[in-house]
Amino acid sequence: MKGLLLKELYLFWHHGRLFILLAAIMAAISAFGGTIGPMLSVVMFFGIYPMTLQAYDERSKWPQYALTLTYSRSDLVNIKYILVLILALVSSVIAAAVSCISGIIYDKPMSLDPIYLSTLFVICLLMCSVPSLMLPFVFWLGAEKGRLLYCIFGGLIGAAGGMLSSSSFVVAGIAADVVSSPLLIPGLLAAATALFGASWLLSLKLFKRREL
Amino acid sequence: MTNAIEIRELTKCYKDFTLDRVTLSLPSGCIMGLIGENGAGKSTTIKLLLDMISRDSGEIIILGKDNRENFKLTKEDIGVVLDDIGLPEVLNPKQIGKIMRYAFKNWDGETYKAYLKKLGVPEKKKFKELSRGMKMKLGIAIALSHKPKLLILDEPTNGLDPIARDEVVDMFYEFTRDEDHSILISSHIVSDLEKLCDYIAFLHKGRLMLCEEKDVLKDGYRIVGGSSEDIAKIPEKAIIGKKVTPYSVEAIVKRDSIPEGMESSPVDIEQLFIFMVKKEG
Repeated sequence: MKGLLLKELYLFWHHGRLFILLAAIMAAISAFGGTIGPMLSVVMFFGIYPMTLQAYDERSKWPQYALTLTYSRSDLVNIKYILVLILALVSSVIAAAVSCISGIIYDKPMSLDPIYLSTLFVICLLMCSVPSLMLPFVFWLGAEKGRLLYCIFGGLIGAAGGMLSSSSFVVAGIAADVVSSPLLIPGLLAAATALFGASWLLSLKLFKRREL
Repeated sequence: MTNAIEIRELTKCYKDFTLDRVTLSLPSGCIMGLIGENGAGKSTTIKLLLDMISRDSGEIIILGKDNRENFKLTKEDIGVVLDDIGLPEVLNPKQIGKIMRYAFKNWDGETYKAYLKKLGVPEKKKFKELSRGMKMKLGIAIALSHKPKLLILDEPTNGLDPIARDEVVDMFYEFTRDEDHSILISSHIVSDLEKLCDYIAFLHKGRLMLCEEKDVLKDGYRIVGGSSEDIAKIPEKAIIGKKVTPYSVEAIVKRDSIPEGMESSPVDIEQLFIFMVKKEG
């Protein structure tokens, strides 16, 4: 697995250099502007980066070649999910640093601030949930078709959710209750963990069946 | 003698192609050439061997183990060169070597460097900037640098110029000096295989037409030429294939069926393959 991780890091460094610079700028804007908003765009990018790397892999026919080495299909799936976790950790560390710097500048101690902690939590959640939804499509159909199907699927769900929430006062009421509930954070954490785990298992199963 | 590869009744069906009950064995210490036209099933056979695609039925034993049981461990002893080397485009051979160091327990960095030098592959040029021949050479260097016992090579001399081809063929030959080392190699370039191989297998439209020792094939068949009346004297069963022109007929015939006094000449593997395929249609 070390070899696969090293390969991912080489590719991340090569393809993501410009973005790392952009992320640094966004993080600085967040820190000095006292707002987490720009940081979220960095998180979203980190979230979809494993899929981008998979697209590069497929273009170079790396999955086929890797199977001739000492790697299995499971290893090729596992490394992308490990990458998601690493990037989530990196995003959280950057977000924590940004919050701390911002706290120092604006004279607000942030370390145990519930708002700061929940912001970090949301960042981790965002980081893991987007790939959790996308990766099974990518491993099932390939990066190009998988991403397209994800967009169509995600768009349909989004549109259905939007229609439901705008047309029903009952749903809006329930949503307001959920948002103010103390169970929101643990509930979201449980849901995101379950989604991540289910996505990982599903990807393993789908990629095992795919003809390369 | 144990077998490095044993394939029994291997079948894989696609919509427009079927690899049909292929059975063959490669004895340890030998080189087998897999010959076939485009789409004959050579790459499908190799992908099945490496468990890159799933088989519909049949059995594959590599280095004494089923290729579905702990194949990662078996692959430590296999070097592979595919027709298309799928390495990341932006990495250079030096970085690729570092990745391989973690991929194979027996990876030998010094041997890898020596092969790169011998084959003239620049260490710091990105993979995408290498010519097709250079990419192949890099693939060969990787395949040989982790002390494999078996090489599985799919068109490894594709894109190489004649001098490089000769060099690479010599390297494969050198590899099999160790009696535990074996090679399965597919190629269009039959002359390379003829020079290198102990065994020859012909694949045609997904079926194995023959699998035999090269010397037995070359000794067992002869090419005869003459008028259609001359050829008619040979039993039809003994004729492997024939080429008819308005002026003469050329046929490949089992040596022991050639009538006394009829002139014949040695046959090469390429001729044998072409005649057999034409007869099969």
